[in-house]
Amino acid sequence: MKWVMILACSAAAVCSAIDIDFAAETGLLYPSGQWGKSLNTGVDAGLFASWIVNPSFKAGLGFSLSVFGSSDQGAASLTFLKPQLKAGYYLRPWGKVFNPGVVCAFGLSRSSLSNSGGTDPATWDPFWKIGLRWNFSLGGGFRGEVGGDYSSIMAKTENGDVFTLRFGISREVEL
Amino acid sequence: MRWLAVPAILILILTAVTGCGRNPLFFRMGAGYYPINYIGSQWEYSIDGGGTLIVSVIDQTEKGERACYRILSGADYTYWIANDGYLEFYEDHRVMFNGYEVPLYQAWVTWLDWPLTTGYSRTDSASTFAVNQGVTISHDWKRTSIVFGIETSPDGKWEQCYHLRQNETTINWIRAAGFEPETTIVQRDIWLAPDVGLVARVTADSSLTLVEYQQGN
Repeated sequence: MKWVMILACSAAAVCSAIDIDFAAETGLLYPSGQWGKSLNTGVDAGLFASWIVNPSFKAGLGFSLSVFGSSDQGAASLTFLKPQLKAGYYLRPWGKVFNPGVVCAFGLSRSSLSNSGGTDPATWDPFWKIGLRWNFSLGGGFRGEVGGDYSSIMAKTENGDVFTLRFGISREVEL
Repeated sequence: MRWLAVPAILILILTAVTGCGRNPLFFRMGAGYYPINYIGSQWEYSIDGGGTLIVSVIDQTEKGERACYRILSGADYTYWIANDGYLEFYEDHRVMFNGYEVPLYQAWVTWLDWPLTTGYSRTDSASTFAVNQGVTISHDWKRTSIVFGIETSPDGKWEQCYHLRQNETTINWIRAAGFEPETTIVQRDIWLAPDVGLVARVTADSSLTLVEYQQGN
């Protein structure tokens, strides 16, 4: 749990008297490559806190949890836990309906596979992701976001690449 | 932007620290641990004590109303279905009685589910009977497969192998005077290598070691 404390301390340090964007994201994950041949589409959820450096740029910390199941209704499951640093740049931050942006993130991924009562040793690997976003206002101070990410877990011998369809909701808070 | 450097450096340090916890999980998940779906593939094994065993994927055929791969193992044909999610084997259990070969159990049974994991376990069983020449022959069969771990093969040539142990118990009983239940217990230790398949098999009375593998098309 060492990394949780480190991230929490970093977030606390960053969050003093600044504008913070809190975001919750979910998504559908599609494995890219042979590693996902016996898995179904995955689901993902994440929480992020980002410092609004200026209206266009924000950067922060967060984590996401992803789960894949067997493609044949079997008992296999693969989970990723990803503490990460994330940054986003938006072209029209004033746009109520259309505010396109790009996001990128890097961090660590803990990947764990289990099947039929067994579990392979978990692996901690660096990962990166890059994505496109369509950000829009939901009213009441909330903003919505849809987009797609391409991410890669840089594991030994072979990477775990994933395409993600992303949906999110966020709110800016002045601390 | 200075504040970003702190967590970035921390993450880099964590990456280095947790480097010892890395393993090629995605490589194993992407590999074929029983790649019988290439016609023409051939495995040549040396048999402990002398001799060789050639196993080759002959063709695709139909068995039990399902499309499958036909494999010649020595002088015997076996039948397999390879999917991304699982591997199935055509169990064909027979017994000799009064000079006749009596079929007892024929069915497709899942041999392994993919992906394998350390501690994976599956058990398959069947209880059936057949009547031949007025005599009932009962048949009880059970197979348990357990993955012990990720190892190098016994000959040290293949890495990231799953070490699998199968225990198979068969009880055939000819229900007639003078016959007792006949129990056969077989334990197999099997090493499956990524993108090669079975590279070693050890039973109480024989050991096989892969000498050469040629992948078909």
